[in-house]
Formats: sequence, structure tokens, C-alpha cells
Amino acid sequence: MAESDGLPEVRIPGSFETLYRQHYAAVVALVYAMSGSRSVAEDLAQEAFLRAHRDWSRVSEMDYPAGWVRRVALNLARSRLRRLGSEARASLRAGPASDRSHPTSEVESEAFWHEVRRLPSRQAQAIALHYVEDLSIGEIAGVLGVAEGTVKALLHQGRERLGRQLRAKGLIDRDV
Amino acid sequence: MTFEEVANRAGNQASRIGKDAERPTFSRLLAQRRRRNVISAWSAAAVATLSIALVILVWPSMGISNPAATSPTLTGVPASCPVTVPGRSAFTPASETPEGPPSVYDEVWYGTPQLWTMINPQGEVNSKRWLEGDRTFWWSEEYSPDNPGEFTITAEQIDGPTSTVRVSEPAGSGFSPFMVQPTHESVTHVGIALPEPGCWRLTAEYKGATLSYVIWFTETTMGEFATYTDEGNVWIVSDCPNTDQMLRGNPDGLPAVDGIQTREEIEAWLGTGGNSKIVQRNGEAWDRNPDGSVFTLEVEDFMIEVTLEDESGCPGASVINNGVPVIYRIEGAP
Repeated sequence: MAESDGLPEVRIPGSFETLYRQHYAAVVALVYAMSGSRSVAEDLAQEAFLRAHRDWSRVSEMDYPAGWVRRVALNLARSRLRRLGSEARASLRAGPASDRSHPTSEVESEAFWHEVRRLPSRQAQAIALHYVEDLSIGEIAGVLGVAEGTVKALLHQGRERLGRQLRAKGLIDRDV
Repeated sequence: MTFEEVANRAGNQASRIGKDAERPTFSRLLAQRRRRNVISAWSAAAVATLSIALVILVWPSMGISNPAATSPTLTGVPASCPVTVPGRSAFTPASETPEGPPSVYDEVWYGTPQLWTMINPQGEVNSKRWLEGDRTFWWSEEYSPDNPGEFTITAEQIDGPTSTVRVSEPAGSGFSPFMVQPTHESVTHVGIALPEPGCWRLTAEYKGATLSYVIWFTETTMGEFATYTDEGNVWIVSDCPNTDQMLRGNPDGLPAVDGIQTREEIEAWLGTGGNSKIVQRNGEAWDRNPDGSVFTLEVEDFMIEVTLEDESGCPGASVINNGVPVIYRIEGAP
């Protein structure tokens, strides 16, 4: 039920409420991995769900509505980074957003996502979907709209490249 | 530490952040959005009135519809450059269009119902995107798919050597709706790259409506890029004179359609035949490490290739259509 705002109430289908409640945290986590910003992650995740609600009659008929929301969120994150490329570089110069008081493991994790964001976008998205959400190959394929074989290739290439990057940074001892 | 250990830890960290994030009830989220629409619509009425008054008083004979905007003294901007500063409440469309651009851009609508765009509320000062070439986004309530009309944007340098860049194309030509637009039909995207820094007036024309705003940017803001011009930037070489482009950083790929971005769907959107097609040109771009050193990365990118019969059809400057670089081929050219 919408709050009173002087406008006609908008019905929120129960199925949408369930999707929102069950997947919001995962979508925020995913966008965080791809943006490095908690506030941006929440903003873009909410935008993705608002779009799903707007088109719910269509989205609800899809095989994997939660995957559609993730795909929109990932594209929003990518569009934002490209549009704000100059600003993103400025942030990179300062290093990954980190608080020195954070535990070492958190700093390492931020550094990991920083390196993921340097991958070609499809590889980065596949890596994020795998390690943030532990999605299966088929589920990742559903989100990205590609064949399962493509997902396997993206993950393989992404891991290989990421492993080299992380090893060069001293974040891991061994390659993949 | 192995790769899998680091990756799994990072995945868990991101998941924790997701779980810790405040999840507003969706009804509250929706209400917040709608409340902003109501407030913005009310503000728009006042702004529209003010705009009309300003147009009547200030530009009675120019035929240019500039909404409320001021040109205060801006740091580093010469007084001779009247940069357009729309402020926070520049304009809100009356239709179902959202009250403003996505918040992540921190920009505002600017224009009139007949023609509006999105720009920085504090003025477009030293925005690096102008030299790099980027999309500009335009909307109009006059748009109709059955009668799209021609959209033209002209950039005139007003503080130095007279230099003009002009891009003209059918409105809504072939590409995706911009992400913010629920009514997809009333939008067009035009990419434009300005050849040198300075004070520029951008003027868009569409179906008799004209919208103009002034921007300012300097060479110094591009210095960090200029230093690394040989470090893996992408050069796009064209058969047409003056249309080679250098893309810095991650060039835009094809824009998303309803959150879907695949080559096949964009091709379906673009249609087949004609003198344009999509070509894939992978290359490298650069970015910086935290220590300031430069690294290159591979980019998967797509461009529009237009085939012309001869040079007479060449544009006068490089063109980026809807964020997608356009390259020109002339039939029979080596």
C-alpha cells in the first residue's frame, strides 16, 4: 500500500513485493562489487526495482524476473562508470575506497573488486555474479543473456586475467 | 593466499554490504519517488512562468527558448564566457517523464517541453567529456515516431577562433531509449566532440524549438590525458577527412535497450540494409593504478560504420551517434 501522497494509490503486486524482499540485498551486493560505492549500489538497485515494478506486467512473465533486475542493475552500473569515466579515474588515483581502520581482509576485498572492475565488462559481471551470489553457470547465463558456454569462457578468461593482476599486486601467492 | 580464498572473501564482503543495506519498503520507495514528482511539477509551473518572462524580456527577437538560468561569476571562467547555470529547479517535464535525471549523474533537466536536455546545475565548467566526445541527451514532447523530424545540434566557439561543429540526424534514429525515459519515443541522443577548449555555445534545434546553453572547459583539465596520448588510447581512422577520433579510457559501447545489451538486439533495433552497419573493433584503453602509473586494458567495443559513395557526403567533424562512434568508409577507397 502506498503512503498517502495526494496521488492515487499504486498497487504493488504481491509477487513483486516478494521479489523485492528476497533479492534486494543481493542486487545491492552485486552493484557494490561493480561500483565500489555503497550509496551508489543502493541507488542503482532501487532504480532497477522501480523499473521492474513499472514493467511488472511484462517482467513477471519472464522465466527469470530476478535475473532481469540484476541485468538492469549491472547495466546501470556500467553506464554510470562510463559516463563518469573521468571522475572514476580520479578515484582510482586515490586507490580503492578504503578506510585504514578497516580490517585487512576488507581492504583486500576492496582491492579485489577494484581489480575486477578493470576487467572487460562481461568478464567482470560474470565474476561478480559467481563470487557475490554463487550463481550457477545457467543462472549467470540467464542474467547476462548469453549461452552457458559463453559464461564458462568469460569466467575462465576473467579468472586467468584477474589472477595475474592480483599476483602482480601481491594479493595472492599463486595464480588461478 | 590463493585466488579462490581472496575471491570468496571478497564475495562474502559484498554480500554483507548488501545485507546491511537499508531496504526501504517498496511502498515507501515508490511514495518518495512520486512525492518528488509532485513537488517538482509544482516548481516547474513557477519556473516555466519565469522562463517565459525571461524569454519575453531578454530574447524577444532571437527565437531561442532558454529557460531560467543565470551566469554568475564562476571560478576560473572569464567574464566573457556566459556559462549557463540552471540551478537545481531548472525544469520538470509535465508528462510522465521522471522529475530529473538519475541521481548518480547529479544533473538537472534543462529546457522546455518542446526541447530539453540534462546538464550540470552548477554549469558545465571543465567537464572533461566535451573533448573526449560524449553523448548529449535530448527530449521533446513534440516527438512522434511517425514524424520524427530532424534534430540538429550546433556548437560554436564564442571566445576564440571561430569554430563550428554541427551534427544533424533524424530524431530518435535507430537507437535505444535513454535509461531514465519511461516514454522511450520522445528522446534522441547525439554524440558530439568539440575540437578545442574554450567557451562554446551549444544550440539544438528540433521541430521549430531551439535550446541553447554555454559551456566552458580548458586545456589544463585534459592535461592528464594528454600526457598519456600514446598509452593505449584507441584511434579510429576513417576514410573521411577530419573524422578520425581518439577515444580515451573506456569508450562507450552500444547503449542498453531495456537493460538488455547484446549485439543481436541492437542490430535488430538498427535494422538491416542501408549504408550503415555495426562493426566490432576491439582495442585497448588505459586507466591508472592507485600509484599513478598507467595500465591498459582490452575493451570490447562496437561502432557504426557508414559507407559513402564519395567524400561529398563526409561530415565536417567526428561524430558519435548515441554514444557509439561512427566511422566512415568510402566505396572504392583503399
